[in-house]
Amino acid sequence: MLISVDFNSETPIYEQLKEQIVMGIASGALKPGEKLPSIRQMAEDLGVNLHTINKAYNQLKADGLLANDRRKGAVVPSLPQKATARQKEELRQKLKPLIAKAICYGLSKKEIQSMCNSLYDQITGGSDE
Amino acid sequence: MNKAFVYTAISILIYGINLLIPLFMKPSLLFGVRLPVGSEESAFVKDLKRQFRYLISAVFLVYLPVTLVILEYSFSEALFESFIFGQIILYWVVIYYFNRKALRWKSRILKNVPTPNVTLIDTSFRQGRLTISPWWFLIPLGVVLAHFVFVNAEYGQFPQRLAVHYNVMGQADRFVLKSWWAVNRMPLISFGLVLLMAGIFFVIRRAKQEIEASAPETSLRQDRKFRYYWSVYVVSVALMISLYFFYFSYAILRGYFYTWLVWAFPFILVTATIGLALYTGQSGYRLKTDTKASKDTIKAMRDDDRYWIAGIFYCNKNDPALFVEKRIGVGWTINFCNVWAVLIVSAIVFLLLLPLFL
Repeated sequence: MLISVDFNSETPIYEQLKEQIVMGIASGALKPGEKLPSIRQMAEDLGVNLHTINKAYNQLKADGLLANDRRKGAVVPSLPQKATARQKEELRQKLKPLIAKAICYGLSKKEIQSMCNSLYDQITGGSDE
Repeated sequence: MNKAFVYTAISILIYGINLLIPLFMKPSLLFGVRLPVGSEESAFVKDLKRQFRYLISAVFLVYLPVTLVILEYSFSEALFESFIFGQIILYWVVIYYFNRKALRWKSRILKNVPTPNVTLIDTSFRQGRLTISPWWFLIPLGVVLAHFVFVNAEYGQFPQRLAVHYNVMGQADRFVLKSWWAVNRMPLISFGLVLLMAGIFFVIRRAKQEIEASAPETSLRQDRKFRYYWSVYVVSVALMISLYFFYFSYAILRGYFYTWLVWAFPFILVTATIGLALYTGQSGYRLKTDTKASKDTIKAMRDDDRYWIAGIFYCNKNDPALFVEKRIGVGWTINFCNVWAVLIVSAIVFLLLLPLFL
């Protein structure tokens, strides 16, 4: 999968990496069991500090979105996972301010729902139910 | 063949290689300066490349006769070598001048335009076949081993005086008395050069990915093919070197050379190198790939000009990469602001120069 990093963006590089890797896993661009580059190799290819990659990988591992393979290093875990109560709660907390913002912008409940639907289809390619 | 002929031939060769520089350049780079998306075909770019050819030619046409006359009147080997080196330096100055010109032009057209700075990588770039197998190096290493065995088995047959230095005409002009060191010098140098080639092989595998945001899929495949071809080249050169030095030992033992063989090696090497460089181009941009035009192109470019001093030396202390692709010409270079890269390369240069002082 192609990953692009914008060095002039306000989003930190490790966040950009995390977002794209999660997007890749959700969309199927990264297949379960697929190996990601080693921390050093990714840092050299992107020209960023090793800690940046390490941070992104570690946070993804903590979230269960990357697995450690003794031989291959960081690999994509098998999907779909069973979300824990804690993960669900975390998603709720992250979504809440976004929905509040949408309400402030004057979006109706329907508009927010249809936005969610179309984004879901966009990420999964519309194939998932 | 006389000295003037050898000098002229080498000069023309250096001139020719520099004349080809614009042909090696991939469309997104101009004298080491990353071009803004969409300006690759502009009149300025074409003009600058033409001006470069004119200036290089003018320098050559003045430099060659002047230095030839000086060499005619006061020849010395040191002067001969300095003039060759001087020519290369002069062309570097010309390249630097055009690098500045391209930079100034870019900053003018990009004034007040917000420039994104995007780097693309492929997570599966290093999976699958990037180079041929490093095990191929066993062949040149086998030749080196046979070389060692040969010189030590035939030690008694070597003459008492061994040539250790040859002048520009290929005639031996410095000798040493036979010793274990003197006899084993050739296989040792050969071994060192084969190891150097193995080092370059490692660099080819390790160097940073070069993906163009405007055509990710195509440039990705080209970069992979590019590395594969040059890895084959490096192994072939290692094999040629090991055979060439073996022949040298054999010729020293026998007491005479086939002159044509001595010249054939550098000739084949230079021709093959230029040929392959023209065939692949920088990052393999001249190679055909069977990719359809990708839909997910990004209208953005990497903005790393400031890390390229004169477009020739890469210096980025925040980049952990040791090796990167060159911006002018074809090949790879090191990150001069990375301590490890500088240490590794200095160690190799030191080891290669060591036989000269022993």
